[in-house]
Amino acid sequence: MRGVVLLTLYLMRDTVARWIEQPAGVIAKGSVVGFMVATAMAILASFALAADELERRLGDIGLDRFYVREAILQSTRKPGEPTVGEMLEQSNVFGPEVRVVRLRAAPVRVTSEFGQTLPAYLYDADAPPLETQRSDANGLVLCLPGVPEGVSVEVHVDRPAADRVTAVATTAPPPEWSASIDPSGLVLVPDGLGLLGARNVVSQLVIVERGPNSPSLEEMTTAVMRLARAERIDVTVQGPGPIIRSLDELRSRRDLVRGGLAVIFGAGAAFVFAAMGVLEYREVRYVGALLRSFGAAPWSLFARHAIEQLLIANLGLITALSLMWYTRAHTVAALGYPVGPSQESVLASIVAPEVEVIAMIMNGGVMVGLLPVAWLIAKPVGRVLS
Amino acid sequence: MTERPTGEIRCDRVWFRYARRAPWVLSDFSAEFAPGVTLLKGYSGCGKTTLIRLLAGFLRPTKGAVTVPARKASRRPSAPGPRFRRERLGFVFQGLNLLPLASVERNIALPAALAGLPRREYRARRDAWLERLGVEPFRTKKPGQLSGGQRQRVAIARAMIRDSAVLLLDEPTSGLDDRNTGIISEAIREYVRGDKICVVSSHDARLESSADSIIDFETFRPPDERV
Repeated sequence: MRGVVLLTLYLMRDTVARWIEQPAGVIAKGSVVGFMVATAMAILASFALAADELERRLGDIGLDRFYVREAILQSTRKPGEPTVGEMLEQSNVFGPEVRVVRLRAAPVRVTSEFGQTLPAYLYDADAPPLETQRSDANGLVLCLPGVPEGVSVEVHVDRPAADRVTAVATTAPPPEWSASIDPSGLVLVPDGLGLLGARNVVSQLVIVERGPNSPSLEEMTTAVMRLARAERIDVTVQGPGPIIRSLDELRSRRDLVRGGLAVIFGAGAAFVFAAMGVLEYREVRYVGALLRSFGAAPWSLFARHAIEQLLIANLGLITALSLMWYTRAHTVAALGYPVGPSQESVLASIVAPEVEVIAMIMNGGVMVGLLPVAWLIAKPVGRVLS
Repeated sequence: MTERPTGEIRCDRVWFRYARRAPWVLSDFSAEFAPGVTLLKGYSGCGKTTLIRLLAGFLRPTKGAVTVPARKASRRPSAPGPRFRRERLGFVFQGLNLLPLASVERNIALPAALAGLPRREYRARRDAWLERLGVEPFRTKKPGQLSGGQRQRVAIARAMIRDSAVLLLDEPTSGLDDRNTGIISEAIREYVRGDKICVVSSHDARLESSADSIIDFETFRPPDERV
């Protein structure tokens, strides 16, 4: 036991002395690991942030809803010719369970007394878009998140080339379908309220929500596109399908990249630690062989080398992760995403599971890199000592 | 702790070369090393150091076998391995090979501790051998602070303190003056008094008087190459 303690103490002292004498080797190995970890984490973080962005958009649109945007150009339309939105609203073509909300973008901005400037949308007074809309009010609804329902507030309507008009609106929670239009809220204005002045509406937005027994979203969007083509009307259909496909593609690409990173990272760590380990061992092989000549077991020398290499590699890993954690806001910004608590939390959420995988790959690579040194340690003492 | 060998170290038709295409250093060499001092003498490069390393197990024979006596008489002799080196061998290298970062005391302590020497016995032997070899005043110094002769004596103290059954010394007196050679020669004689096996490789004629037997490598040399 005393022999093991003395041997361990001597090997520790020998290692520390070498680190002090030649710090470049330690720094180089730690830096290589740190750089590889930071690169891998940045790549995986960009995937996570992209997936988060798509998931957020998917959440806003919803899985049973699609939007049809349509330009309403007075110059090309014949009088009385229905728009695609009107056709969808009136024909009930997709069955009774499908809900159609038709809104027209008002060419004004509305400012609430709370200070928010919001987009305004016109709706048919006989088809209110909110199911819970109060019939006793004037029909002007301010949809704002986090504001109590049914409160009367003043809103100011800024009309281009006209006076500012003030009216009273009733507050309501934003409907689910509005998140994709403007997550900060919107104002719903009934037709005929006279707030718009002489300006014409130039675009229309139709929200189509399917019921449990309705045709699939894909069938419905295809039908809408066909209808628009037949009527020679330009429409843009936005549904969850492309986002889901993008998300699936992103996830499969992330898995591929993760596998590639594992191979590159593991092989890189193995190569670096093997090459540098062999060079370093040339400096300590004399002492190692001498200790073996006293009867020290080769495994004890290998254990020293393994512990040293794993220690350096994991110090590099921890340093890189710490730096990434403290600069996470900059990382999010550098990856091209808006910095906010949600993006930072996304970055934090991916760190824990990915770190485990990266640490395993890195330590595995380092262990593979120890093999050449193990072979050198096993060489007969007499071939080393002169 | 003092141990007696239970037989001889045997070389049985040993052939050795350092690489596949290299010339043979030893060819069909057979010998028995009994308790007492055996001196290997001969010209430089004749294979003395190689043989002594084969005896320690630092090298493995290319052909043939080197066997060391078992710890118990009932057991069969075996090839020298790490356990033999740890528990039953004292070795002095031609290049001394002291641990550069350790003091004289630590240089001696580490192999003794690996051999499992009890602390009290170790201290007594350490003090005795450092005194005996005249290096007691340098016990806290590091090898770099010692002269060649002092390092030589520390290396010998390190080997002898273990009181192992087998002591192998490779050129222990090279470059030493008569006084130091005399000290080492006497120490060797004193060491083998307990029927230990001691093999000394040297071309130093001053050690011949201490030897019980001599293996002259000159006899292995082709007649036309003899000096």
